[in-house]
Amino acid sequence: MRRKFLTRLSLSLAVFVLLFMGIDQFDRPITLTQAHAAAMDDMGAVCADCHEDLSPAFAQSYHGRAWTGMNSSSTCQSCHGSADKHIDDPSRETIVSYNKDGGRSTEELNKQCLNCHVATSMLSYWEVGAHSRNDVACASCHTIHTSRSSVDQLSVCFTCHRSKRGEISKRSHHPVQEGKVQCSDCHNPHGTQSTHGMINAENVNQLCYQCHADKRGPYVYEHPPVEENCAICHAPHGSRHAKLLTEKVPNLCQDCHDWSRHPGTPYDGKTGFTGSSPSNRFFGRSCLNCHGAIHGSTSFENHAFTR
Amino acid sequence: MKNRSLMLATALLLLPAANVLAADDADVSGSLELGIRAVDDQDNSAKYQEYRDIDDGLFGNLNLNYFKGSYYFGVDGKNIGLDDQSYLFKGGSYGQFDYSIFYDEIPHNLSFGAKSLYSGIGTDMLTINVDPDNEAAWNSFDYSVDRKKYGAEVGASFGSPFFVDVGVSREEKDGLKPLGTGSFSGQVEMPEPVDYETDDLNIAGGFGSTEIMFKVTGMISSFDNNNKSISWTNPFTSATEINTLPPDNDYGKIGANLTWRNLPMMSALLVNGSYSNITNDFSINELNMAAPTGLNQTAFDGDISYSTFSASLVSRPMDQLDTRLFYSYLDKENDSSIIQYTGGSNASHLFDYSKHNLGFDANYNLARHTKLGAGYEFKDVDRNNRHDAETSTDNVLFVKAKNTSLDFMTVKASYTFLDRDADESHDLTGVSITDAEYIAQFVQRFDATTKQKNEIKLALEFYPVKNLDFGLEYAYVNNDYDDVTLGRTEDEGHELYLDFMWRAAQILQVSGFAGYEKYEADSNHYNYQAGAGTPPQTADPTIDDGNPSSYLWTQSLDDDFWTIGLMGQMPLMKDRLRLSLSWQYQQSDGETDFTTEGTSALLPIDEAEDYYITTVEAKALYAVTEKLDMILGYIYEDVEYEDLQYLGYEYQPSGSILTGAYADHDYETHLGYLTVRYKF
Repeated sequence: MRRKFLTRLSLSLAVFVLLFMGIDQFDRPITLTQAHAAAMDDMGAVCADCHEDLSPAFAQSYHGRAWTGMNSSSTCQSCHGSADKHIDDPSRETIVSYNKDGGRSTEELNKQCLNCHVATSMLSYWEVGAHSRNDVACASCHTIHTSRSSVDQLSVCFTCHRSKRGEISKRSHHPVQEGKVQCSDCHNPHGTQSTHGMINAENVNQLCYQCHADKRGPYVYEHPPVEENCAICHAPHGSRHAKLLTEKVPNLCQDCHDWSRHPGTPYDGKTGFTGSSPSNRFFGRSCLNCHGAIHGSTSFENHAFTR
Repeated sequence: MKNRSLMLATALLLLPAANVLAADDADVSGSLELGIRAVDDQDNSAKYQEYRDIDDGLFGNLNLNYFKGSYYFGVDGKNIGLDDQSYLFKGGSYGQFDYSIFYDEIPHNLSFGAKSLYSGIGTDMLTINVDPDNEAAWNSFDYSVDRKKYGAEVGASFGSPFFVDVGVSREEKDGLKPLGTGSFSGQVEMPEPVDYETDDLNIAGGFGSTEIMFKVTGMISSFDNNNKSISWTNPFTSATEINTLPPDNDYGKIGANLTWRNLPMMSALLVNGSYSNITNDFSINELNMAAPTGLNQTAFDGDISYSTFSASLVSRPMDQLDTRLFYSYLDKENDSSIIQYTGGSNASHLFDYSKHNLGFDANYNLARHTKLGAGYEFKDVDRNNRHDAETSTDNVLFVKAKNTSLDFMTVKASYTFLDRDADESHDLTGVSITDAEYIAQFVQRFDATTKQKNEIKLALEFYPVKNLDFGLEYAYVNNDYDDVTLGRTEDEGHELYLDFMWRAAQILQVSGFAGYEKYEADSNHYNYQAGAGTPPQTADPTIDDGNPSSYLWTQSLDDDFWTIGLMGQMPLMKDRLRLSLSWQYQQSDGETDFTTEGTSALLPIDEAEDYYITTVEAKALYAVTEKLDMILGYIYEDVEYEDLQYLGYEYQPSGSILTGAYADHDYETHLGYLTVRYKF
C-alpha cells in the first residue's frame, strides 16, 4: 500500500513540475491603466513614507498579490478610507484604523471589508451569524498585512472561546490540537442558517454524518436519541469521559434505561474487577461489553443492540 | 523507514524545481524541513499515539508558494512518509478560478497489545483454535483504525457574479475496533474489522452580487462497508453466531439558499431549504443469518429523508437597534421497512420527528458604549415512537448586556431561561403491575422530558497596560427535571477559564491559562425483577410491594476538572536564538455516591475516570543564516489514569471474555528532536 502511494506521489510530483512548465497560459499580462498605476504608485509611495515597515509586507500578503494579479485599482485607502486628512494630521482619528484603540466601531470596520467581500458565497449568512450580531470584527480573526492567508484557528478562536481550549485538550477529544480537525470543519465563523452553534449543516446529526458515514444507518432497530441528536450522549469539543461521552457509562445509559433486571441494578464500588461482586455490566466497557450495536442494529432480531 | 527516506528524498526534488521556477520571473518561496527524533516507550499506550505517528527516525515537512501575475500555486506537505502525513496542492488565478488536491491520513490508535482467543482477526469470521484458558496462546493485535482521505476541489467564477464549485473525495477506513456482544450465556469482546469506503461528490453553483446571493448545492455520498456481518464462535456454547456491522448507505442532498440585502429598514432576508435522503437495502441472506421463526420479511429497505426550511430577517430599523426574526422547520421521515413477527413481539419501531423553531431577538445600543439584547424562542418537537416524550415544547427567554465604555475593559453577561414541557403517551392496555413494561410510565429521559434550565454566562477582557491582556469566562448551567420519577433529576455545571498574555518589550513573552470545570448530576433508579419472588416484585416504584429485592436507589455524580498552562518565549540572541518553554497540567477527578432503600449498602466509587496529564515542552530555535534555521526540542508527557472499571484488569473474569480494549492507559514518554529548515 505504501509503495503504491509512493508511486502515486512521484507521479503527482512529475505532473506538478509539468504543470509549471506550461503555466504561462494562465499568466495574464498585468495591464494597469495609467490612471490606476499613478494612483497606486502615488498613494503607495505616500503611505510608505511613514509606514515603511508595512509596505513590503503588504506586497507579499494575499491582498497585495491578489490586487496586483487582478489588475485591481484598490489601494491602501480601499480599506483605510480617505487619507486626505491623515496626511496632514497623522493620528488614528483621521484614518480607518483596525487597531484595538483605533476608535472605530466594529460595524464601521466590517463595512470596509464587506464593500468587496459581501458578494462572495462564503458570506451568504454573515448578517444572521452570531459573530456579526455580537460585534466580532473581521480584523479580530484575519490579519491582512501578512503573507499568511489562512487563520491559525487554534490561537484565534480560543481568544474568545476560552473554555474550548480546555475542552479540546481533555483526554477524550477530536484531533484538533493534533492539527487534523479544525474548528471550521464543523462551524462556519462567517455565519450559518442554523440558529445555534453556527454549524455547517442543518442539524447536528447531518454534520456528524459528514465524517461518520457508518452511523447514518438506516437501521432495522433504532436507538431514538441516536437518531435525534448525537450531542445527547457525545460532547464534541472534548470530554473527560471516554468516547467523548457526556457522562460515564453505565451512568449515562442508566439515566434513561430502568427496566426489569440489570438496567435498574446499582453498579457500585463492589462491582469492579477487584471488588467483592465483580459484574460484567460494570467492569471494562460496562454496558458496551454486550450492547455493541448501540448506534443501531441491522439484525433482523431485536437483541437490544447486542447483535 | 526505507519508504519514509525515499519520500523525503523525493521531496528534496522540490529544491531544484524551485530554482527553475524562480528563474522564470516568478516569485517563488517556501521551505523544506528535515528532522530526526528519538522517543522512548512510545508503544506502551495507544493513547500517546492516538491521532499521530511518533516514533524514532526521520520526519519532514515541505512548503512551496509560487506567484506569477494573477496565477498562484502552493504545496504543503506535513509529516512526510508517516502514518499521519498530509499533502495539499492548491492553485488558481485570482478572481478567476481555484483548485486543490489533497491527501490526508489520520491514525486512530485505540489499544496496543490487545489479545484474543480468536483466529481470523481482521476478517469477518472468528474461530477458536486455542484452549480458551491458555491466555498465553491467544493472538496479539492492536486496536487501530487508519483513515485516508483524498480528493480534489475546483471553483470558478471567471470574474463574473456567477460561480460554480465541484469537489470529489474518497475516504478509506481500515483497521480493528472492539465489539462487545453477549447473551445470558456470557459476554464476549472481539476485534471488529473496519473496512469502509465513502465516496463524496459535492456541487454548488449560483449568483452573487451585493444585493442578491443565490446558491444551489448538491451532494451524493456512498458508504460501503466491506464486512456486512461478523461470524464468531461463542466460547460459552460453541455455537456459531452472527453480529451485524454498520450497513452500506447512499446519501443524496439538494439545497438552495437565497440572501436578499438592501431591503427597507436596512434589512436582509435569508431563506434556505434542503432535502436529503439516506437509503440502503439488504437481505437477511446477505448478513449470513438464518431467518428466525415468525419473521414477516427477510429483506429490509431503508429510507430516511430530511426536509428543512428556514428563513431569517435581520433589520436595523433605527441606528441603535438591530433585530432578527427567524423560523426553521426540520422534518425527519422514516419510510424504512418495519420488521414484524407473528405474535407481535420483536417488532421494529421506526423513529422520526419534526421540529418547528420560531424566535425573535433584538440588540439596542445605549449610551456609554453599552449594548443590551433580549430575545424569545419557541421550539416544538413532535416525535413518533418516543412514548416518553411524544411532544415537547420549549419556551426560551434570554437577556444579555455588553459594555465597552472603558478603553481597558470589555464586560459581557447573559442569562437564559428555558422552560420545557413534554407530553407522554404510554399505551399500557393489558399490562399488569408485575409486567416489566409497566415501569415505562415512570421513566422520564433527560434529553426530552419536562425541565427548567437556567444558564448564566460572564466574560471579561481586561487590558490594564498596553502589553498585558487578561481574559475571563464563566458559565453556569442548571437543568432541573421536575417531573422525573426514574431518571436524571438534576444536573449542574460550572466552567471557569482565565488567560493572560504579557509582552515585555521584545524581551520576554509570557502567556498562561487556567480552567476549572465542575459537573454534578443526580438520578433516581429502581431495582426490580418483574413478577419474581413472593410477594411478586412489581414495576411500580411509587408503592412498596413488600418484597425486599425491589427497592429504590439514587446516584450522584461529582466530576471535577482542572487545567493550567504556562508558556514563555525569550530571545537569547537577538534575531538568532530564541527559547520557548511551556508546561501544561490537567487533573480530572470523578466520584459516584449512592443511597439505597435496599438491604445491602452501596459502596461509593472514588476512581471514576481520574487522571493526571503533565506536558513539558522546551525548544530552542537558532537562525544560522537568513535562509537556514534549526530547532532543538524536547517534549515530556506523563499520563496516569485510574478508573475502577479498569483497575485489576482481567481477560477472563467470570462470565466474560475480554481483549484488553482501552486497558493501556498510562504512559510516560520523553521525546527529543532536531530539525533543520531551509527557506527559499
